[in-house]
Amino acid sequence: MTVGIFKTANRRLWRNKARSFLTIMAIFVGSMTVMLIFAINNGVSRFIDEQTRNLGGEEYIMITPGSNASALTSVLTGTNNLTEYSSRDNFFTAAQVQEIKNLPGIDAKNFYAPKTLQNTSAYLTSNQTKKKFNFTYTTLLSEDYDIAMGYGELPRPDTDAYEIVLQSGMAEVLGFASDEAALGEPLKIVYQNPYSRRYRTFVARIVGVTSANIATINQPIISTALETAIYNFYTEYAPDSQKGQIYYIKTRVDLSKTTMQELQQTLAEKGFYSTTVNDMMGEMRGFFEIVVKLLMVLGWITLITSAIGVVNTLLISVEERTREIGLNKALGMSSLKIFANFSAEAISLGFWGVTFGIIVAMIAGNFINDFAHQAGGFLEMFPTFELCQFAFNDIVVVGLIVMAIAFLAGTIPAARAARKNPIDALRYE
Amino acid sequence: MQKVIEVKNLWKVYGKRRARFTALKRLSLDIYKGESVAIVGKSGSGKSTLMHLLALLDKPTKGTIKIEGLDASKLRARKINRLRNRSFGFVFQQFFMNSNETVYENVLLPLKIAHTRRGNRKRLALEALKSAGLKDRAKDKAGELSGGHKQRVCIARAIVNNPQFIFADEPTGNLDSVTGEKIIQLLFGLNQRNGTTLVIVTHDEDLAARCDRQIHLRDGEIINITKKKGVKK
Repeated sequence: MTVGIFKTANRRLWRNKARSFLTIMAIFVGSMTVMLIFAINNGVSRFIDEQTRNLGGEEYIMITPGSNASALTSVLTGTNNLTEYSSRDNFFTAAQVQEIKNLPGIDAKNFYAPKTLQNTSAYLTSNQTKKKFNFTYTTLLSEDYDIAMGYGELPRPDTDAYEIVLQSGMAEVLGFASDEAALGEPLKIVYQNPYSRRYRTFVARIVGVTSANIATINQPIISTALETAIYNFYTEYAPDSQKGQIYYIKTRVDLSKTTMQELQQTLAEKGFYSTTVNDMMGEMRGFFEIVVKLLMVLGWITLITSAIGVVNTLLISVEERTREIGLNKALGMSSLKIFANFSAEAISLGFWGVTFGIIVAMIAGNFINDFAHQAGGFLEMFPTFELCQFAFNDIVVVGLIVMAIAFLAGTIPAARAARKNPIDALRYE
Repeated sequence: MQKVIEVKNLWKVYGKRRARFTALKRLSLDIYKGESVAIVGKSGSGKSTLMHLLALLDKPTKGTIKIEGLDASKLRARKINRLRNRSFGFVFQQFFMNSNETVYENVLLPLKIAHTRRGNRKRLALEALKSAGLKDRAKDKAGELSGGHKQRVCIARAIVNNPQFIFADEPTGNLDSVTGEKIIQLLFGLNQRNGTTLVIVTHDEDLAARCDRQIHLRDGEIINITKKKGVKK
């Protein structure tokens, strides 16, 4: 019976092809706009999430003894490279490390207090260039880092090999034809021992290149084996007091036990400085969210305009079919059924409009993505940034909301039709 | 004889204050099962209004109408719809059809509203078309038919649900006399064969004379009720 109502409704709409078509077009434009905005919202937030994971995820916090954390950088939020001066020692004491580790909410299993080198003299070069470049590095502290790779892989955690991953763009500076061409090639890393003044060259194989991103660790990533070798060489003649110094702590926070805010406050009271991934990503996310929200408002306004079109089309239809309505009522059709018939037409208009809207939005979205990533396209720099991403849930939500709007718009004319008195309707000329 | 429609002290007033118009006054009337009744009178005498009230298409301002002993004012909308759909058949002067649908679809309409099963629908509709002499016009567009054939479509539609009552408003009004005669024969044939009660509003004296009783209206009141010659009651 329900199927029957919609069949009849569509046959009626087909009778007034031109009018139905124009109304469907209006809904189509509105739905397409809203669908595209949903897709862009998705694309942007997925990209931001990916960026956040590049920095270790939202649950991570970086703690330094009293000066600004600088190992994590972001292009958008800016890295000024000026670190705050502190009269305190710029490294943690063993007691301080233990104190932080014992704070509520600190996940001791994902607590990293790496021994780091300071004031090193090191450079990086390749067989392809004569130039030398200052070398600093990072290692992967956690598997929570989900770094988007352009080519190759991250260093294997258990390898004994000296492996290095370059950030996108570094390969060309080092004389390779492209990021891809650098894969598998050796790089030379040269350290000078501060006590013996001797040099040592470490040869690392390039195993991967990260993809271009807005937020990233702006340093090459090296395997733990290579890091250990460098550390051992560098501290070979150092007094014990200089060995094993910890300049920063990075740890996961169990957010079920504390909030980031609480923890950061506690740390500040103890004189430590902390930075979370959200501190860095928050502004960027906030900016995108405002833009997307504004776009959403525009999209819904378009849809509401098309809803007025639905009201208009059906009102004309009700007037035209006054006699038919009267006849149906005289022959015993209930007001509810007449209301249902007109509502079915409204919903059908919504259905066709939103179906075409979603289909065209998806085609357009793919086109936009291709266009953005082609040579010279506006997202060429960010190969993992798919601007339009269509989620099944969003498609269902947009579909249902548009049909609901069409139904609501249809209730005005449908109620008018249902109220008609059979006699007045039959007399109507 | 069984009373199927009982009307007591019926009033119908349209409009308010200065625009007030009394269409029917103090009207009382009984209609018996299987009877054919003509409602006659000049235009403006209230005959169409009376028929609309009898057919429960409209509500009286005052007074009661009982259909088969049930007080219409106490029936729920659902029951009234059901009554109109299952027990009443309507024939209108201006036909009132969906002209861009086929004859068959037009005749089918009351059965669709009644949610009759598909198999039954087809059988009943074809029977009705046959009785109305429209067997080979089933697939024609209703709007393309002649006036006589359009009225036949309306009669087929009125009888498709095997109603106990047929209400006809000027059924021959728009037809030439030969075609009109055929329609009259069709209606009385049903009355005779199935015992369908006929209520006919008409100007046509010939048609009125063939009904068992004629109710003469003037200015909303019954002025006279005459019986067909040779009918004993």
